[in-house]
Amino acid sequence: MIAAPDFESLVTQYYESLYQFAFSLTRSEADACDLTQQTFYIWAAKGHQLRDVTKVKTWLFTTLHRQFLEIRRKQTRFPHQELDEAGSDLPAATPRPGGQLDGAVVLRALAQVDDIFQAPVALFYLEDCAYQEIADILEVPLGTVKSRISRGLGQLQRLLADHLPAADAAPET
Amino acid sequence: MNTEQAKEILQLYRPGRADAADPEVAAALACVEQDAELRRWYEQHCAAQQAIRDGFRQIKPPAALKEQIISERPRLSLPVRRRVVLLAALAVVALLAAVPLWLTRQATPPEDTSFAAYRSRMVGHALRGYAMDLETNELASIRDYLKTQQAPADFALPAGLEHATRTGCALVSWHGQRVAMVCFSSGRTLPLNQTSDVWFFVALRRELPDAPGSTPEIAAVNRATVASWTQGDKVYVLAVDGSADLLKQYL
Repeated sequence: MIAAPDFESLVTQYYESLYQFAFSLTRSEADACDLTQQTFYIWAAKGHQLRDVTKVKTWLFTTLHRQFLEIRRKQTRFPHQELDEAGSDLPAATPRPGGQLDGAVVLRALAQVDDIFQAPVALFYLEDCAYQEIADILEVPLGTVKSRISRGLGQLQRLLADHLPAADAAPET
Repeated sequence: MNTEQAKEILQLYRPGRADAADPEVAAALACVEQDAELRRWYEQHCAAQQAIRDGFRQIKPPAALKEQIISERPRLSLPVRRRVVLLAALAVVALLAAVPLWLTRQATPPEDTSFAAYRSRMVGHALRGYAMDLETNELASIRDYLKTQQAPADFALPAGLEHATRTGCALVSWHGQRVAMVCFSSGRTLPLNQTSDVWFFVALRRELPDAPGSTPEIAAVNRATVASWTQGDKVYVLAVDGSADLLKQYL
């Protein structure tokens, strides 16, 4: 039987990737920090309920995603923030050598992708998660995840076409 | 398998992962070896995928986030015996609950909306580094900006802060409400990436019903010293990156 990881080890191992996922969803440093911190505190309170400790990563990402959806559902309480307003939190876009993309450019493009595709696309790129893992995190069937990633990637690549030297835009899906 | 079918399959293929074990992917990759046009497309596709992936991975958390998560961790552990009793009680409640409740998915624990949590979050935000929304020493500009952002702008500065050096302001989110954060500098030498070491947070009283009264309550939070009080319809938190002596200069 594998022992459950202690809190500090868990934070050390996952805080960066959880923050990256949160930031790619919210484009706000403060909100991404809050989501990441809240996820670990939920773990501190409820993590002992997880029977299969090999699923810790999936549990953390699922919890963060649920928190994000919960906040979005409360958007009547949350003033809507246009992307331009959130711009100060996005890393400054700086010219990069050919073939390289700036993180801010990628996130601005992701923000224009349909909401439902954003989380699967972010996990696809950030975590190199297997499709089944992404399906588990987002709590949707495997086929749905593949379809959402495919369509999301298509949208993202078309939006970034001008920034990807010599790359063909993805075909319409 | 024709070129278009191969492209469709390879669109989701990530080199270096187990995806290649999929028979369809293996067949599509075999087509790449035999079809020059497909190979050209595939190379461009892989380059584009890598560029986007690198872009995503430029996202870096604030330097002190990890430290903050660990230091502010809620202490929830109970003695084993109490935990067993609690679990037994919960089991009884669960048995008595209706089947739909039993099937309900894992619920989110209630959000901690206490004043202590608010103060800790604000101090953590200040200490871990942040981007100022407006950099100015003009109080009127700060008030104007906060007003346009629907954050508390008609705050009363304590006498000690009236003539302190203002550096700007930012907005902080607290359970969906906007908190005004006005930043000051004590004049001490600060690290290269830090412009402020005194922060004044203003929130609406109705959001923090358990906030201290009108007499400033002094506390140490993280490495900061903090005074908190309520005046009118607002709750004020004044934090300094330093000692109580420094804090008292600004009250």
